[in-house]
Amino acid sequence: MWFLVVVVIIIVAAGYTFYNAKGMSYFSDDSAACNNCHVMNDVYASWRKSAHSREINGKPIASCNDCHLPNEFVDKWIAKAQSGVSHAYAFTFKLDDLPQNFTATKMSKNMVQANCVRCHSQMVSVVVNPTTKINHANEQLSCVKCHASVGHTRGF
Amino acid sequence: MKKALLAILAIIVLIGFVLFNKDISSKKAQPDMAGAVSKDVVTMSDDDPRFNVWGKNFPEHMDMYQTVETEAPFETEFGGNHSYSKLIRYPQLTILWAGYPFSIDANEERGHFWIQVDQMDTARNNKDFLNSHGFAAFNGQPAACMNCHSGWTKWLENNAALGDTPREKWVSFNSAKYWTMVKNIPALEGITENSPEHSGPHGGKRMGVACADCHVPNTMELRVTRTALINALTKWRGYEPDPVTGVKATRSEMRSLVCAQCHVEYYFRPTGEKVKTIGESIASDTDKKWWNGTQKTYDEFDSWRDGNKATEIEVAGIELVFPWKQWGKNKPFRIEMFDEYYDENVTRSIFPQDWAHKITKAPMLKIQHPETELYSSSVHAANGVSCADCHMPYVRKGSSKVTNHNVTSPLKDINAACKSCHTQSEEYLKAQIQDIQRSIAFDLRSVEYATVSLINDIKNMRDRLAALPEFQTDGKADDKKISAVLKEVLELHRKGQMRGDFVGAENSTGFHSPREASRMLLQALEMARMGQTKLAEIALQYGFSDFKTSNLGFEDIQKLNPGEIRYKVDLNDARQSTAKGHKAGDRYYEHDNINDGPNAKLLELDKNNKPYNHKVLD
Repeated sequence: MWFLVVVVIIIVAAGYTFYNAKGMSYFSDDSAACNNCHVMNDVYASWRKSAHSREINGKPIASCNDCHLPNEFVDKWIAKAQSGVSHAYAFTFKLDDLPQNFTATKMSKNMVQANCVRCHSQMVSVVVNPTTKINHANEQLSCVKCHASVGHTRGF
Repeated sequence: MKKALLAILAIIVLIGFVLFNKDISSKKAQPDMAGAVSKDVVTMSDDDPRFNVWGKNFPEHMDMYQTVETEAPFETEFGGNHSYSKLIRYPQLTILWAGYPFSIDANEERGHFWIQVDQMDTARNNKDFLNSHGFAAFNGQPAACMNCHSGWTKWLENNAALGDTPREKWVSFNSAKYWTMVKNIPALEGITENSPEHSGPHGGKRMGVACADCHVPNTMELRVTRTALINALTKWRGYEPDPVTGVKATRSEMRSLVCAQCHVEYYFRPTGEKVKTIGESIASDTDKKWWNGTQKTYDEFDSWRDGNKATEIEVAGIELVFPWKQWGKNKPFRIEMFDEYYDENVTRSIFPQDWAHKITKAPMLKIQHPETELYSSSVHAANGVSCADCHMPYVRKGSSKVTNHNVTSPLKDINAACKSCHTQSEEYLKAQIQDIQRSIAFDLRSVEYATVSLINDIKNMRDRLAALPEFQTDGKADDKKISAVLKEVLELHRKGQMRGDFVGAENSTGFHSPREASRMLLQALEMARMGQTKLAEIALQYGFSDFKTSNLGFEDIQKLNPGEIRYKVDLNDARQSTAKGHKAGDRYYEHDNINDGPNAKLLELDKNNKPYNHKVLD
């Protein structure tokens, strides 16, 4: 009985939090969902001005998710859950430590690189393989190293 | 047991939910632009420039501005806001500035909020203290010094200075005595005349820079209020005046020009005319004497007291001028422009020097804080970066971004200041800044040590020449004759030291424009060593076959450390409200963390910096 009460309270609290945090929006690919948080205002605004946000048939050429999450179904939802939990944790407990300007993590950089290659494989297949490890064993060249402002006016 | 664990876990999860919801709700509640829109509680006007009043409409900005009042002092490698004695860290300055009050008191600065407090406290503004320390000839600071130290400056210029035209009021304001002008700061609503608040930094007589100095009331548009900058920009640098914003300029330019109101080299130019200004009746009270027995012409206190009243007097007029005549619009500043300006006949005949060097007798120039000039030649300036971009970087306040009004070193928040443009890691960026500053510090120390060496050698030469009959008049050494022989050397001392002083007074250890800083430091080093070469030639000419030039290093210089400032004689410090009696030997500053020594780490850094110990520094 006692146990059940706790479970119900937690479910209710979780439900309310989910509603308050606009939880459903995170199941979509809509970039506006990323901008639920004010800390995303800058990057969202600059993405809106970039070539990738141009809409074709009502859909942007590349949304946040298209570049920042894996494309495969299982990997994508694992990454989404992972980001969701860590973001919720940061906003709840580390809000005062958040820097003004964010830096991409290693994981995020890898996902972005994979997505550049995924969409632009026709182009990059005929140029030097930018992911070659021969000359850049420790810090391989990434697309955004040179094309820093493709997604946002400011590269990360 | 298991149940208890589950219960604790459940409670933790629930607390997490509550906190997360709290954050989400507070974010949703924030209206757009929350930080930058007036709360419209009060009407802001130039009749009342107190930041405590304007701040009611902008509480977040006021909080940021006042951060420095309560935060612990911090040190960067070459700056920060710990107000340690620069003379203890760099004892060479006591020789470089010999004969000028800076040689007994020069502390690291500690932020806009404190600038008026610090100016009232400094021994350079304490006539009795200076009298008793061998600076009796120094006539006391003029109100011109307040141009950059008080948020009341414009109010006083418009309302307290005498004269009918803005020009007359401007010269009258500058020509009054500092302590006389300070007495005219009014007690506006909420402040009682001569109360502690009226003397304090929160809107009273010790209020530093205030909102109105850079912002138009109510629209909060950026503006230039300081007459000296408006004059320099319109007369020499191709700007048009503007009745509302001071000069016509883009917003991006304004984000630097508001800083250029004070962060520049300047001098007090004698106007050559008598001007009416405020005096004090104490001047005719023969009972009021300075420590050395001379008549007081002003009461060194911030209020009218003991029957002392304002009078009208006529004095020789002075005017705050930025020496920018040779500096064209959209051009980088070059140090040679100061040579040209200060050596022009029209300037040198009425302003030959800031002071005569006590040891070499050279006519010296003291450079103040020429950030605007140095920055103009930098790669950042070429790319349109303004002062505010780095020193007032955007910070998030709820849903909007606001400029940080705790104006400070970008090193305090490299992420906000640098990473808006630079994508490298904070560690990398910090290392770059350190590398630049350490290399400029090496150059600067080289120049300072070389200049002190030159000063030593000039003294040696003066003593030797003084012994020769041809340099004596009536059996005594004739300084004029000696200086005439040393003319070229003394000019090298003047110009070379001015360059080192420029980089030393400039608040970035060269970072604002590393190439220009090292270019002028190389010149300065050449000038110091060339001066020594000339001395060797003179020695040859007069047959001093054993004349040697000196080459001082870190250890020699450290022996000059003057320690913290102390009273030399028993003194009633009139500036204290209770006229506190101080015994000889008492520490001058009342606060421990002002005028103390820097952190030992900084001295260790200096020791390794010149000669450059790459094994430690890199």
